[in-house]
Amino acid sequence: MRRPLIYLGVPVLVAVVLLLTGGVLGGHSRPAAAPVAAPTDRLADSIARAQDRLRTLPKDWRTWAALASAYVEEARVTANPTYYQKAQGAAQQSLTLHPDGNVDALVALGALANARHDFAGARDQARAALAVDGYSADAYGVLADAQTQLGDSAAATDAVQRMLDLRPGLAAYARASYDLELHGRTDDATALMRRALDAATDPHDIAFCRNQLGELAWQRGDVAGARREYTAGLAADATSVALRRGLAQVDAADGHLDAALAGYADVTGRAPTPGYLIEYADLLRLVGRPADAMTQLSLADAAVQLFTANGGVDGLATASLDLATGRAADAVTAARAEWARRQHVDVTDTLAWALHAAGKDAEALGYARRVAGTGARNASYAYHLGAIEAALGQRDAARADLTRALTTNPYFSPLEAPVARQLLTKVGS
Amino acid sequence: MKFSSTSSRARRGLAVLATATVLGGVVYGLGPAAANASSHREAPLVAADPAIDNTDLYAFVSPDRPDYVTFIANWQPFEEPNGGPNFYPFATDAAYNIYVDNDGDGKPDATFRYTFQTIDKRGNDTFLYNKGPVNSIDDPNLLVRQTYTLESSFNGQPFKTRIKDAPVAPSRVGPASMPDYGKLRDQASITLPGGWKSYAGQADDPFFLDLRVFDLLYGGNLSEVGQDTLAGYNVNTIALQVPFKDVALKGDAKRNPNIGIWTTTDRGRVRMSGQPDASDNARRDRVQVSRLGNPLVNEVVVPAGLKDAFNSLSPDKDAGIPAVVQRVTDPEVPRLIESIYKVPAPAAPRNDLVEIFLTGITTKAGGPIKADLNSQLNNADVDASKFRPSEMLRLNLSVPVSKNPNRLGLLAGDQQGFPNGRRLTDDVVDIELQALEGAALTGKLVDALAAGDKVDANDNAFSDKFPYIALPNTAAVNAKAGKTGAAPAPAPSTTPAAFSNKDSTASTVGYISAGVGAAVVVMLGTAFLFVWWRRRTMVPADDTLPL
Amino acid sequence: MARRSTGPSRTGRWLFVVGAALLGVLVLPAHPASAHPLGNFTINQYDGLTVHPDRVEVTAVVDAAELPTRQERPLVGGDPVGYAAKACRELADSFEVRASDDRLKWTVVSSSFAYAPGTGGLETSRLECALRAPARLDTPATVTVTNHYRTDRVGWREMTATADGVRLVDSPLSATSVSNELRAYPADLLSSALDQTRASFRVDPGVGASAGPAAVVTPRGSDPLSRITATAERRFQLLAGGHLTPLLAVLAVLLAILLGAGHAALPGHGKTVLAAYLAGRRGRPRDALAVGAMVTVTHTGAVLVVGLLLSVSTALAGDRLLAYLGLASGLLIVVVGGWMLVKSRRHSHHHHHHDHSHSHSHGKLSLAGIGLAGGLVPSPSALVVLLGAIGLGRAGFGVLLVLAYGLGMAGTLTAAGLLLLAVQRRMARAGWVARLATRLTPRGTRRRATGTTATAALVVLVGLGLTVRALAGAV
Repeated sequence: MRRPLIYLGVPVLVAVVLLLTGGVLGGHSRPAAAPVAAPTDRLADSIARAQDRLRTLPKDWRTWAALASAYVEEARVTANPTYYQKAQGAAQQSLTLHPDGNVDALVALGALANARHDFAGARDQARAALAVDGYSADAYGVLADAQTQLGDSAAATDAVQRMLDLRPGLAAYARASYDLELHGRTDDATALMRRALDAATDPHDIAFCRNQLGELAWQRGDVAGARREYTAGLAADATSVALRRGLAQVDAADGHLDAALAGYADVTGRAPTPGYLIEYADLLRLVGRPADAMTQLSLADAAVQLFTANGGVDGLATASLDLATGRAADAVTAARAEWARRQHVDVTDTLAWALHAAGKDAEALGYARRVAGTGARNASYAYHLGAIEAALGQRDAARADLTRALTTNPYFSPLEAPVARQLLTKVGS
Repeated sequence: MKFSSTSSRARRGLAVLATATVLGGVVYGLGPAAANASSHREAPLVAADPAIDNTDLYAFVSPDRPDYVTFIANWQPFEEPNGGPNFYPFATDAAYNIYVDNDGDGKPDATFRYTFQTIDKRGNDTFLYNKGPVNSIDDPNLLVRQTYTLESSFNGQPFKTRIKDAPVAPSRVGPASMPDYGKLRDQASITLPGGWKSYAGQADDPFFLDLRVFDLLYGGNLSEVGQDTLAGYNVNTIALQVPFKDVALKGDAKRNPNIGIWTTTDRGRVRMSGQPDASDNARRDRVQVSRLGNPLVNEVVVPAGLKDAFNSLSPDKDAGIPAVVQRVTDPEVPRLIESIYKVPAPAAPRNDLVEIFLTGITTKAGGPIKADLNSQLNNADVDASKFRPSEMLRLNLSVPVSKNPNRLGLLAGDQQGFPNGRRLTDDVVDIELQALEGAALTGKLVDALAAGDKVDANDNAFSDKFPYIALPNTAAVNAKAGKTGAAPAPAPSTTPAAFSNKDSTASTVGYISAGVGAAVVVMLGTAFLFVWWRRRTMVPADDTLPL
Repeated sequence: MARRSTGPSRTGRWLFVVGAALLGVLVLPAHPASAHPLGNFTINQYDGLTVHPDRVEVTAVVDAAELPTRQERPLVGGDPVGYAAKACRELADSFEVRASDDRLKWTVVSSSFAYAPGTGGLETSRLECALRAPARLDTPATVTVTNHYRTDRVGWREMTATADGVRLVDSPLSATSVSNELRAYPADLLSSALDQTRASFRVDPGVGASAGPAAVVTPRGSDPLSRITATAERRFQLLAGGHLTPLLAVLAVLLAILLGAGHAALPGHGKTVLAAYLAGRRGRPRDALAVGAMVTVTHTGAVLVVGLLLSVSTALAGDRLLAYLGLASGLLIVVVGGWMLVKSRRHSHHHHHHDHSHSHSHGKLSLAGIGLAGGLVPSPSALVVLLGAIGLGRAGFGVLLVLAYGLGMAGTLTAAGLLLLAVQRRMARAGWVARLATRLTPRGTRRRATGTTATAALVVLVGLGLTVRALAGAV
């Protein structure tokens, strides 16, 4: 039976030849594109992984503490404050499982306290953590934040330096940059923040660094530079409200008022915090829409009321709002109360300005000079000092400080910058 | 953000919440629960910094090259093979160091420092890693490349540059982008003057273990093990091979064969105020951010509260931290094993563990293991008064290379194995578990733990030439983000998710020929059977039914 | 948004009140528990879909917290009814649901808007809309849902999907709302706020339990054999994707043969069929070879065809195709077994002294049928090898590997068949098969026809089993 075998053999040969041809020709002729994947959201991933793990292993106190810290970060990144409660619960759970020497849970509780403006509480948690583990960079980070906000400048710098000496990286660089900025060393602050940006891998971290770099550029009047930073940040993380607000600020400075108003409308729609609402109101007043401005301010009022009703204390927001709505006496009360709690430079400056608004310029001058003494290079602070000096008749000093304000950042506030210019003309003559 | 909980999860969640509420009810309301005034700056606290994370150190006498010792140090574990678009570069603001101490004082006598630079040609046009297939390490299609500089310093002398701008093997993007990664690997394995060999680049993670073993500490048990948690992941590797004489005390490996090795990452110190404070740590201009000697020390020995200290300190400081020494002498894991598995924990103080982890196995330090294996105290030219116990991996260069390496190393009589150095095939989890239960002292393995974590070998085979580690994996480990840490190896499925470069414009020639081939096979098969059956029916004839 | 369910929050609050009274000075600062723990500027959404064969209905709820409510008061303008209608229309226009790529057009069946007291003397608001859209869902379709409404606002986003008169397959959405339609938010510490803005699932006609996302086809056993096979398959995938030297190619082919052999050793793949076929018959080694070869050829052909289809068409779902093939395979075996049964009954009347030639004559078509049926369901691992190779542009190599795989399978099946024959010969002497078959056949034809009838019966049973399993798997 040869012939059937031939009938079989030929097709087999043909098939094999075809397959090999296909294999040879078919290979390596495809365009080699690397997979285009968006950078993954590490924070959301780590939260999901921790949640999964804790469902199967609920006694893992370390992961509970890590989850608590991650929730605090998530609240910061998404501006969703309900994560604070989850963070609290998770940290409590960790402490319940491991009450002694639980550094991670103490650090998480400290970070949470900072986020809730309980800076004294945060400082205490951080100190408790450091008593257990004197090498914890995270604990120094919490301590640095708390001391900075409380206004204890030397302690803050010391904590930041210790953090830098333990774990130089984005978190330490960012805090060091802020500390330098508060002391007026803006060039060093910018260099360090750039270092932080180079170390950033997560898109939210990149957005944060870009935002701070934008703010630093803005504060020295480099509007174009600020715009570049904000735009680059939005390319990394399009959801960042802070970056959108930065762009709106820059648009206002460049005179694109419609774009700025639209930007602020978007920002206050996403995150109606008193700070953003007041800025939006200022802009509305500038373009001659006082009724709309009042709407935003009353919304800010509601926001502050809610915050207080929920047990929060933010005298700074209350005072700023009172100033914006012309309630000078209330502003002084609120600012004094906040100053008693903490002496951060923003609080000092707000107190000075409130006193000025209430006509108590002599007292205001003391606080405004204190602000200037920190060395911070901020146009708004300089303008406030200049205005107070002008009100007290100290023309030379006023002229110097108003000039300083306008040379530092001529666009520092859409409402106040023109006023500063007018005042300068008046005292200049 | 994940799905809502199922009803059973909701019940469990409520139980947890109820507990937490009862406990937290008193302190609840300390702050604003739901408002967001946020008028102060909030910076990230737990920022991701994976590139500097030390994960493993191996040190062994080179099997294929007598008189040469190989160090392999790995960083950044859990690299997902589909890690685009930025993949896993080495950090450019850090230095990656391998240290050798040959006289036992805890200070480095030989230092090898790697620093990296990135050359990013992407500009604003693209964020792709490569714009075509990369066929060699300097292929212009590779848009993001790294190079490294290797410097070395011996006995406190200034650093000398050994090589500058050496190529780093890039992250393995995928089989279509890098069809011959082996060639890239070969091009990145360079030989330096003095016979040194060096490699920096990505590799398969050679460590194999089931991380769930450590869930013992959290109420887990050893019954659910057997999966290599690290299977399928990659790491960044630095491999260095140097002659004995460059690391041995006085250059004489015959008289002084024992060396201690550890690896660190450090960054430059940043001073805000310009003057260092008085502490010795502050005077140095590098800040150590990660450190590793023996494997799993953080998991097994150092408690949570000391991990930061351990990462920051150099080995010469270890003996001064009583908590570290105390932890070695009274470890937690054996007590847990005793409570769960009723295997009696050996009595504290565990000076046998002190020998293994802190001094090296020697008779000269008064330890209970009566053997002289790998301590610097056994070097002929050592000054014993300068010896300090310190945590590092200790290797005896004179122990001959085993012909049949045993994964249980020293405990199975294989003198070349961990804790005498560490080879790629040593099963350090099982060895350490046994050692914690006293096996090194008694010389007998503990039966109840004989299976260990039931992961005995790496998922990829090692090579027998430098740099010995397997090529990086290409198959995705997790189909989507959010999997648990103990991710199982990918299961085969009908959609080839593993081959991520599926391109719908695949070669039509390939398709056509494959289709024709398939049709021919089917036809062939039926023809074959038809012919065969016809032959059958012709022999023998009978009254069969027609089909 | 974590609005605690009423039980625990009341407990917590009472506890706190007591604790605060006692520890008022020490707890710094003592605050009342929040009455409204929603984030005050969030807008939460819930969309519940109900899928019918002829329409889709949606219950949409939008729960706005105090600040957005206040911000949007001017839009309401004192006319909640009119505002509700307008807002629901806007929601409907932003709620994109596509059935087989056709976008559904919603009508707003009802709408309502109301304020509710919130914190700080402010109010929250609740918008409820009922939407309906016609849809042709009496044939299988894929439904994709994308919610574009108010994406500028942070908040809880929840979707559910239930079916009425159809079946949902691979639905990632739960059937019930975990927040009771935004009335009570779970405060589980281990769940993040829901953020479901898009989903996709299949709708199949007919009632039955809706299924969650399809599991991977290959069952992942933890027994050693499955583990070894899984490891070998993974290594194989890496091998196929790596640098291909001639040595590696040969090794890959050898490995493919081994994989095929190992795969055939696992349950399934016609060994049951083979056993049923050969049991109780005086089969010859050639029959074992023939069935083995047939299974292999059809399997290889099936893998190639399915593989090419899958890689060319993205619309085909691999696991469904396999399910259909499994069903077809089971039915085919039932048919073949039935035919054999019929034939054996008929022969038992006519030819009772030519049983060994009968066995051959019965054999051919049933042999083919059984071989075909056994090989009809391609194995996922072979598919992976082929698809992977195609994905790398190495289609020819992939086909070669599949052929090698098939050879391995053939080897195992033939060996199994030969083993069975050896066993069967011993068993035939024991006569238990005859006793079994006695019950199935009429008296007169007992001795001759017993083997073939028993065989046929077994084959039918096996086929029924496979069919039922395939149906159960598809549900």
